[in-house]
Formats: sequence, C-alpha cells, structure tokens
Amino acid sequence: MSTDGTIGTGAERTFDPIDRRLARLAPTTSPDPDRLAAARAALEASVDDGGAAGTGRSSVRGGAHVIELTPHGAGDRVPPGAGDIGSAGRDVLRARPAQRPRLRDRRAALVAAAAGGIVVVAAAALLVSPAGLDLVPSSSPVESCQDRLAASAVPKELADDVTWRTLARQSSDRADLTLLTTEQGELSGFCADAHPAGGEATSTTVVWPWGPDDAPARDEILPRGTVLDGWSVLWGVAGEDVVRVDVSAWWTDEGGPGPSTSESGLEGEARMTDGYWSAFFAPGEIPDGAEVTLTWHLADGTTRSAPLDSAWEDGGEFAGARRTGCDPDWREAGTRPVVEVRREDHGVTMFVKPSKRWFRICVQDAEAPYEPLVDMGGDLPTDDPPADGVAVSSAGGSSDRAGALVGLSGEDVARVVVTTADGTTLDADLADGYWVAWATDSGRGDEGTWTGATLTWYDADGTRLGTGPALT
Amino acid sequence: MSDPGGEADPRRRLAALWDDHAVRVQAYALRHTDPDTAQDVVSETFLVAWRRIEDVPDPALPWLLVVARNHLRNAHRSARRRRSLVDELTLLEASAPLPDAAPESLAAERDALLRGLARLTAREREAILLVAWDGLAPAEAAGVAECTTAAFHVRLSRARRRLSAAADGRPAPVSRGGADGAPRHRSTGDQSSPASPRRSA
Repeated sequence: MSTDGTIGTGAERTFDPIDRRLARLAPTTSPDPDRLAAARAALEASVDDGGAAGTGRSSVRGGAHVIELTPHGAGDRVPPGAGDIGSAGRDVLRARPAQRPRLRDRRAALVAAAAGGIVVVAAAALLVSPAGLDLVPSSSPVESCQDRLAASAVPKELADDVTWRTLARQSSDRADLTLLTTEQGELSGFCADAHPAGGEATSTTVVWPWGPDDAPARDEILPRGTVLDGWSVLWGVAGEDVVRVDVSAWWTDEGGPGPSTSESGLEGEARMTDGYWSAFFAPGEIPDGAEVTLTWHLADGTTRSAPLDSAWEDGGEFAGARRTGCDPDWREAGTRPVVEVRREDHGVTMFVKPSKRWFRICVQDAEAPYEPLVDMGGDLPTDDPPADGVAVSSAGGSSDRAGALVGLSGEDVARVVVTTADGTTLDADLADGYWVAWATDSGRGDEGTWTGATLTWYDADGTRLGTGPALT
Repeated sequence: MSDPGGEADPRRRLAALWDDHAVRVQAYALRHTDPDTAQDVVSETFLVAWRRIEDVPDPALPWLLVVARNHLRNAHRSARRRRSLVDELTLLEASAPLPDAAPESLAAERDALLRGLARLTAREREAILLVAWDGLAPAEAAGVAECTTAAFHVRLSRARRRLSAAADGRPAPVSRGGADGAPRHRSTGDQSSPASPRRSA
C-alpha cells in the first residue's frame, strides 16, 4: 500500500462540460492523510490479527478507531454477485420503499380510468365534439381511429388516397389505444377509446396535422408527439443505431401533513416499430410537473439520455428539433438563435442572420412536434442596432392562435413592454439586443392586433427610458 | 503487512486495492460524514474487501463504494438528520481540499462549484460526483446510488443543468410545471400571455 495516498483522477469517462470543470477539483491525494494512515493501520492490524482472507471474520483492531462489525448486518451487505451492481441496486430499492423513490415498472398493464366526455384535440387545441358516441363506429379500434383522423384532418376528396401505418396499438380492459401515421409522416394521430367498468365510454382523438422536415441521425431520437394529460402518448422517430428507448418520469409528492416530500418515478420501455418509438400512459400516470426523460440505447452498447424539456435549453439534445420546427434551414452558416423562451405550453424562437439583415420568428407549441402557431420572417431595420437606450419594433403579425411583435433594442435597454390598444400589456423576451412580445390565444386573429400598440422600454434599474408607438 | 498464513496473493490484491482506491473511498466517505466516521468507514470497507477478496470484481471501485455506502448508512441510522447547506458545503470542502499551489482562478472556480453542489439535492449531488469525481460510468454509478441506470441519467441530467446554472450565476433551468425555477431567459413576470388550455371537458 502506498503511504502518500495518491491516486489518478477517475474522471476520464466524463464528457459534459460541467463534469470537466468539476473533475479539476476531484481529490487526487488524500483529503485527510493522517486519518487515512490511521485507517490503514487499523486495517492492517485487523488483517494481521484475523488470519486468512475470505474467512468472514469481523472486527477491526488497532489504529485510532475500533468498530465491531456485525457479521451479517446491513453494513456488511454487498450486492449479490457484486459485479451486477445495477440489478443489485434495484433489489435494494424495492427492499426499502420508505426510504427510496417509489419506482413503478409499467411494462405491465396500464392502470387508472379515463375522464368523462368525448374530446377531439386538433394539434394542441381542444375541440369538444357534440356528436357523441357515433364517433366510435363498431369497427376495429384501428379502423375507427383511421376514420376519425381522416374525418378531422383529411379533405374528403383525398381520404381514399391516404395510407395509414399503425405505429402502436394496445388494448386492455380499460381502453384501446392506437397510434397511427401516414406513409410520409405528414399527418399522425392518437386515439384512446376508454371503456371503464361501470363507467361511461369515452373517445379521445389527438391529431398532429403537421410534421417537421427533419430526420434523426443514426444515433439520435427525435420526439414527434407529446400528450401528457388524460390518456397520454409520447412518440417519435429513431435513428438506425437506436435499439431501445426508455421513458422515465420523476416528480415530487407533497402529500400528507407536515413538510415531508418524496420523490416518485415511473419507467417504461417504449415500443420500437420500424424506426418509430412510442409509449402510452393512462390518466394520472404521469402527474403534471413531472420531469420526463428519454433514454436511448445504441447498438454499440452506449446510452444517451435527455429530458423532453431540453428542447428549450441552449445546446439541449432536442433543441435542434424545436428549431427545425421553426426554420428547417436554421443550421445555415451565419444564422443564429437569439431568443428562445418557453412559457408553459408554448414558446418563442427567433433567429437572425446579421450579415443579411434578416430574421425569422415563431411562436410554437412547446412540445413535439413544435408546430409553429405563427411565424414571421423579414428584413431587420437598417438602424440595427438602435442607438443606446432606444427600442424599436420591426414587425408584427398574428394568426388565429398567436401573435408576435419583434424588435431591437440598444445598449442599456433591459426591458421592453408592449401595451396593445385594448390595454393588454406584454413583457417582451429580450436577448442580445432583440426582443419578442408574444401571446397565444384565440382572440388575436385579426390583422389589427398590433394597431395602436405602444412600446415602453426601461433600463436595468427600472427607469423608463422612452415610449412610443409600436408600429409606425 | 506480514504474511503469516501464506496469503501473499490475497494480501497483494488487498494492497493493490488500497493503493488504487483508498483515497477515492475516503473522499466518498468524507462527502457524506464527519472525518472520524469517514476514517472508520474506510477501514471497514477494506476489511470487507479482505474478507471477500475472491468476490471483489474488477473494476473494484463501484463495489467498494457500495460497501462504503452501506457502512455510512449504518453509521447514520441512529443519528439521521437533515443537513443544512452549510453542512453540505463543509463536507464538500473537506472531501476536495484546494491544493496548496492552486491558482487563484481555480480557487474561485472551486468556490462557485462547491456552492452550487451544496444547493443540489442529495441525489443530484451524489449523481454528478460519482461521475465527475469518482470516474464511474453511469451504469456503475447507478449501483452505488441505488437506482436504475435510467433513473440515474435523470438525476445526472438535472444535476448538470442545475449546477451549470448555479456556477455561472444563471437562473435554474425551466422545468415543465415550473418546479425547477425560471426560464433560461428573463421571465416575463406578470404580463398576459395566456396559454391555451391543452385539454378540457
């Protein structure tokens, strides 16, 4: 045994930038050499006293501390086989439910019941159908789903030309779940026909009438659809080297009296179907606020992982998919994202190409497939950047689902507030001299959304620097 | 060590295990407990290795850390309490002292990172340090952390994001449902940008 307690850093396997920064701090010599020497003396005395290895003897003697081992106590417990650390860890996890996160392996049947009512969700917007149960004809669940998707998203004259692929289907005593897409992937849908015992049958249809124009790299997965309330589904596409996809969700339970909280989790293996992955969830199985993470396993044995929310992080695994949802050409040289903000179910992405004085901006669904609700592009104003302490608007637009006003700001401008003619105030997202004020609702479909709006801008101390009409 | 029983090979193996891993086991123990208890844990961990020398796998470090973890749990069972942020910072500083000749920039970096680590949850802190300091692969570290590899990836991912944000003085990354803090960019405060309800009956 060495006496100086030196050791090489064990951080060679780390790749994340923050890991590398941390690794520089990893102790390479003993943090407490005196006590390490004492521990060594105690061990040597015990070994010398206690005879051969492998005897199961206990008790350390000598050195500064003497501890009586319990031969079969918890402190002596090593995972059986010891090489299979992972499975041993799971065994321990199950044995200590009160101390560990509650982990549910949901590769078995779905649980829980569906909520009442018949709903049709077109993209992210909800339509409540008054048609009743005639939306669920007495055909197979797959045929029924095809009919409903076609009825909601395919013009009648084209209905016969659409060829559907079944990506996943699951039946239980609670519900029939079906995930379909068209051959070209331009239209997809999810159907849940719930028939709870003693309850009212319900039918839910989710349609994604839009598909992004991208494909995964060999070692990538991309999310394509996310519905995480009611009967839920996560699905997407996988590159050629992906052999398995796992979905996990973790959340904090705040239940019960007192301040105690506990962490709960759920894991499941997604279905793999010809380049697609998918996972179904019953109502309540993933509570609101859970952090959902996708882990994918590659043919070479490596594993990658990313939270769904990484789509809205700079450098996040799925940020590229979200950006492509706004602009398929965002990777062109000179184009850079400047404003990328998620707020609840929607977000905004703004690109600029300063060399060509060009911008593009989208208000998007926050979750896959990141469909743009409104998108605009155009020329940046010639006075880019504006003078110090000045903010100007550049363009505004709206659809029936969202509106956005974009602009630029000079040095010292820390906040831009847009006040519409009806008195609504929007605090713009501002980054790198560009700002976007945006809102999502169904009442902003008229072209005059920004007519009569005013801008007010402030410095970092909250001092008002100026005000003026939004679009002149 | 002497060799009274003709156990040269096991003793050489134990000596090699000590040389290779004692510092790492001590640092791991110091992250979780006081110096005296950490010293006991190191002794006990390698005594278990001695008694089960035939069972110690290669690589041995994950196995040793599991043994150390179990000893730590035993030691703390009678005195379990919630540690404060200051306590955590003290343990981290003890387990990763700044080298004497370290440049000032590293001292500042260490201060920021240790403070960020102290603010993580215990699980997140354990996850990132098992990888970044102990050099374990996620599958190995999952065994030490007593979770599945997928769950470990979740913790590691959270830890990386939160630590990066904390160390660089940025707000914590946004999480669905807003549990983890503010968005990466400046929040819009009380302005009106109503999100469409995703589902209603």
